Amino acid sequence: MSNLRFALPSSGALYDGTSKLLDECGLSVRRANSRRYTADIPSLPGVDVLFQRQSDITIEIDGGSADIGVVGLDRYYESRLERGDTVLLHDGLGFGDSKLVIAVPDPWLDVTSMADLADIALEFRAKGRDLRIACKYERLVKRFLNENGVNYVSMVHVSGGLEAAPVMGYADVIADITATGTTLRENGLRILVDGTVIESQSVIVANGRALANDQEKLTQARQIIEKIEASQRAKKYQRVTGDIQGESEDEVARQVTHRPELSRLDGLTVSAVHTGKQNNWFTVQVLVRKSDLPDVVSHFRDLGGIGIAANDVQYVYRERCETYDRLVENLKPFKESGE
Amino acid sequence: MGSTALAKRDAVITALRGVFGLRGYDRSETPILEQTELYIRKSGGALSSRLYGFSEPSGLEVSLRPEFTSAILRQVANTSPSKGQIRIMYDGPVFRYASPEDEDGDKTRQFTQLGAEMIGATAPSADGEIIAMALEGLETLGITGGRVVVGHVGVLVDALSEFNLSERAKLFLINNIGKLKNGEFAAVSLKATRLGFITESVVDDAQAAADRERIASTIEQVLSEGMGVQFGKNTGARTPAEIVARLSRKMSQIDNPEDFKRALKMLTKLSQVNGPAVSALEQGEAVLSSAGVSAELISNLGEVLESAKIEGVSSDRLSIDFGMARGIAYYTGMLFDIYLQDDQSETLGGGGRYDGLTRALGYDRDVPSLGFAYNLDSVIAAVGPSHDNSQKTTMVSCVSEGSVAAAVAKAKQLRGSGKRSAIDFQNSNESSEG
Repeated sequence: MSNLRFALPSSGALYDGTSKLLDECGLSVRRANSRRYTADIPSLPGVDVLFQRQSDITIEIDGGSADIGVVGLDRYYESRLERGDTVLLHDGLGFGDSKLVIAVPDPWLDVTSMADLADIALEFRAKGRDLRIACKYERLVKRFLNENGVNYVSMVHVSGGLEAAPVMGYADVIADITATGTTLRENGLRILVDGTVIESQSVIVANGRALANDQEKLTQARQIIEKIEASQRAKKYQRVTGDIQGESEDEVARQVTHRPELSRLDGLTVSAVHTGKQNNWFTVQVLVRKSDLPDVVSHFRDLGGIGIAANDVQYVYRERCETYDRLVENLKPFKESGE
Repeated sequence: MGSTALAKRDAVITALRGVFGLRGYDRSETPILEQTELYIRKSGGALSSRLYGFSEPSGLEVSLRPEFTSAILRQVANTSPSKGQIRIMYDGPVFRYASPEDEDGDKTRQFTQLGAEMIGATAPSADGEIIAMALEGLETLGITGGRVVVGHVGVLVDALSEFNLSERAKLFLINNIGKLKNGEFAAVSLKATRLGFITESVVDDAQAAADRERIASTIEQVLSEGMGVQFGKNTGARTPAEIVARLSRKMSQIDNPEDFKRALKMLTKLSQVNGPAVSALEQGEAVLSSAGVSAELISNLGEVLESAKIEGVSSDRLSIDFGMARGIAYYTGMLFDIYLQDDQSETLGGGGRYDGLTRALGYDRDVPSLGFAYNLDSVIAAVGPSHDNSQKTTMVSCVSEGSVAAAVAKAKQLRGSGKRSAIDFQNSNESSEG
């Protein structure tokens, strides 16, 4: 029996986001103490949780020492081995949103686009030096610059506080991660209009070879992504209940679904309310998109409904788990014959 | 690569060298490892993001060659300009990285190019010679279904020049012609809007408006109070004077959005014109004239095709695609891709005219130059097995000859009469093996 090794970020925003997500999905991680780098998920035996630095997770999964993991999409693209074994398992967990952008000193009024920057790089070159860019994610940035014709450039390695580089004078422009752009603005930097290298959020990646050739691991991975998908979908829905008077269950159901814009209601249930006195009251239950909630409530009122209530739901499952279906497709190239 | 495949490749290379040689092309070799500088163009990013580059122990940035043309043009440009044309051919491995998402992501990182360059010729008949030679080479190899699709960057640039656009706008449009051809008009428009080529109040965001206002007020202030006031100290390695100078240069080249939109529309239509040479040429002319544009270079395209016919290329093997562009600023005239029959999925090679390349390489003059290269691996795949003329080897056994000396003597005798022969030091019977 091989356990699925699930790598999670050990600190930072992605750690918080991941913990919250897993809690919501009923997959809370049990960690003996915060210094321990291994943990488990009591509701999912057979999964070993490994807390890792975010920068290591992709590399570990590529190398096969972890099977699946949560990382930022930007980090994944920066450190993955192209044509390696790693595949995207879930392409957006809904937290850790950020983008990697190219920013220039704000007073460079004449520089608004990547084409301008290519021009400036040439001007610098003519003066006998390269445009210096302080950046994280050198691989992504270098390729992006080259693709945009910014070829005469030298990369300056900085591990933190990139924003200060142009003022301090050890770089001319920067490529940095930003969520809102506020820090960049406050440091006198401006993002180029077409200077977004990558828009990122947290994703789940997996070692395709490990999952394709180990049915138990695949089953564990499936349970994780199914729960995440169902939990994410559930956030868009609420369950509405209310009591409506009518002649029969069928008649009440007809009235409820009468309005065409509400015809996409899910899971309509009508059941008789046994009050002892009158038997023509029925409880109606229906799953609605949050955006449809006001319409549904007023429709219930129009039908004389009482006791109308709406609740959050924890999971909404579809006939199929799309993420899993996509995964199975993506795993085909990794299937080793004879296993 | 196994011996059979190698023998086939050698035979193909020898045959093609023969074809080019008969037309007066001399062989040339260039280093596999070059200073990265050579391949980093002054504009265009198509190749620079695919280089296999690294720092050598001395600290110098070097790269494996991704193509031959730059090195050959440098060779020629460094020698004194000569009269007449210089004809050069080359072959060897080139290296380009392709990520899995790239169009050619399934290609190998190393492949073999065999090509030719003609330097110093401006006449359209030179273009005709190059196209004809590309097909002639294939025919020599027994590939009769070769076909050439011709485009013309010059026509596009020429047509765009009548819209009063900045170089930047023209380059943007030409770089995006592939997308326009594929019907991605909306995506290109959106990008043009974001870059400020098209301004419409509907899509104009607050940021852009604020930027414009700030630029205007800054200029005003600089004019009235001098430099330095607005800029603060954070101008980095550039002085306020440099910024204002470039800004005013840029503002003076601001494109009229209406002109840009007209150009975009015209180019979109033109990009979708393709097909048999005669009719496509007519359609192309019609698109230009309906946009009120006279692109004189379209006659050059006609002459190029005519020259290819004079060289013996039948017209059913020539077609036009106005939507072709390589997105590289130094192409100036015709360009072409070689296909097998109607299969548009993979080219056997391609070429074009790049009179601007020497300047892009840093020389102060344009040198008329054109050429093409086969992707030799695709060409070899298209060749039938007939070119495998590797000879069988006769094995001479020491045992049956009685002694090593006798076997050596016999083997020598066989070789003397042109037969491959080798000595078998173990087997007792003389035998013939492949």
